[in-house]
Amino acid sequence: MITTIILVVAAVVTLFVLLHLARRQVLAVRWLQDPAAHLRSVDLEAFRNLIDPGEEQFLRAHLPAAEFRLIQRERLRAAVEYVSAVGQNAAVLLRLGQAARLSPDPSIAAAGASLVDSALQLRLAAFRSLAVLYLRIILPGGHVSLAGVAERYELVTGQVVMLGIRHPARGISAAL
Amino acid sequence: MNSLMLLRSYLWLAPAVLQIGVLGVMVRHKLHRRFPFFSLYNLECVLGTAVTFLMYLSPHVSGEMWWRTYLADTALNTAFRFAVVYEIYAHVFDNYAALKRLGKPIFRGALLVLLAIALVAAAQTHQHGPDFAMYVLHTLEQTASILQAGLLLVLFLFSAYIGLSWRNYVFGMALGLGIYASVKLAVAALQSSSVVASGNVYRNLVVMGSFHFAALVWLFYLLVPEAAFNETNGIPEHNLELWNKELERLTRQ
Repeated sequence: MITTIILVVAAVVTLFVLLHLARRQVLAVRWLQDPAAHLRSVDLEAFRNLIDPGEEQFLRAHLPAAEFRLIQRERLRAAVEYVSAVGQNAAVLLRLGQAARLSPDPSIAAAGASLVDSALQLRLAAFRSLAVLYLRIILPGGHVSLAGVAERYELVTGQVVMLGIRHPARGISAAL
Repeated sequence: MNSLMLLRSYLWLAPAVLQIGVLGVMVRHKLHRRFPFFSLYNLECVLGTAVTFLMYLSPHVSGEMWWRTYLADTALNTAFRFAVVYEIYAHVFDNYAALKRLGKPIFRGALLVLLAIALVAAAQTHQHGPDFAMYVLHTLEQTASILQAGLLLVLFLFSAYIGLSWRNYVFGMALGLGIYASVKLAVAALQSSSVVASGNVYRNLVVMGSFHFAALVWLFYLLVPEAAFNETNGIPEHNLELWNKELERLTRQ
């Protein structure tokens, strides 16, 4: 009986998730009308500062251990916010790229395909980075490199600029 | 003919008519070449419906013969649905160079976990009533539905998290199949339960209704136009320059 209840509940939940995602698919069409509205502002310089190993070494060398751990945790929490924003932006750019990929104009389609590829890599990198950041919040003494996220973000945003030049979309590059 | 029989006949035949429409649209847009299993699945459903319905009406066909044909049709149908799920996975992941290597491990991983769940669930079911064949059929249907609904749910959740937007027709195929598999799972679980063994007629109507809905979803998503990249919105020139300067400054660091 318990198995039956679990399976029926699982089936109903699956059904609701599918219908919810179908609704999101419809809403995604509206996203494309104004993608900039869904982008979060990211200060790349501040993010680089937060994940700079040199800065971390400096703090470690000049602060008492307890104070360093406290400050390092705060820095990592801030980095989580940045990476989350970057991940969200990558998702928006991914949608934009996917739509651009279907364009009949070959240059826009090519720029869109390139943007999709990079945004996807960034999205996956952001996912991995969040896992690493949370791990480092738990263990602030350890060291994990996050430099790849900043580089990928630069690459993706650069491609948005290229897409914007070929095919303007309101306010996107300003928001990144 | 009472209203229940009329409803059953409608739900039996109407999906086949919709699936003929699905096949027609797919052939017109040459999608049958990209989704051969989905096309064959629809074709099999149409032929299966025609054969089983005509056999049902014929006075020369015995109940046992009809039942065997129905079981063969169900087995073929289930196998095709697995092929369609794999086809959808392959299409979604192969469409992105960055995800190509992830497709098979995700599919296999999800399949293994779901298979374990399905086997545990199957082990928990008990035969009620004298018909062993029905018990086996419901257990197999439950197992297949867990795998199909689960695989589609994993794919949908992964895509939603990453932010993949699917082509309308692929989304429709997965959505229709997912809805049908979820309803079938709930009904198969109830049918496997000894507590709620009665009311099979109504439960069959629910499954048939969900298949009808799935066929409508397939046809709808094949006909609805794709979301277009907005070509009219402009970007202020100074924004581009500012961003270019920012990138330039960063690359010099």
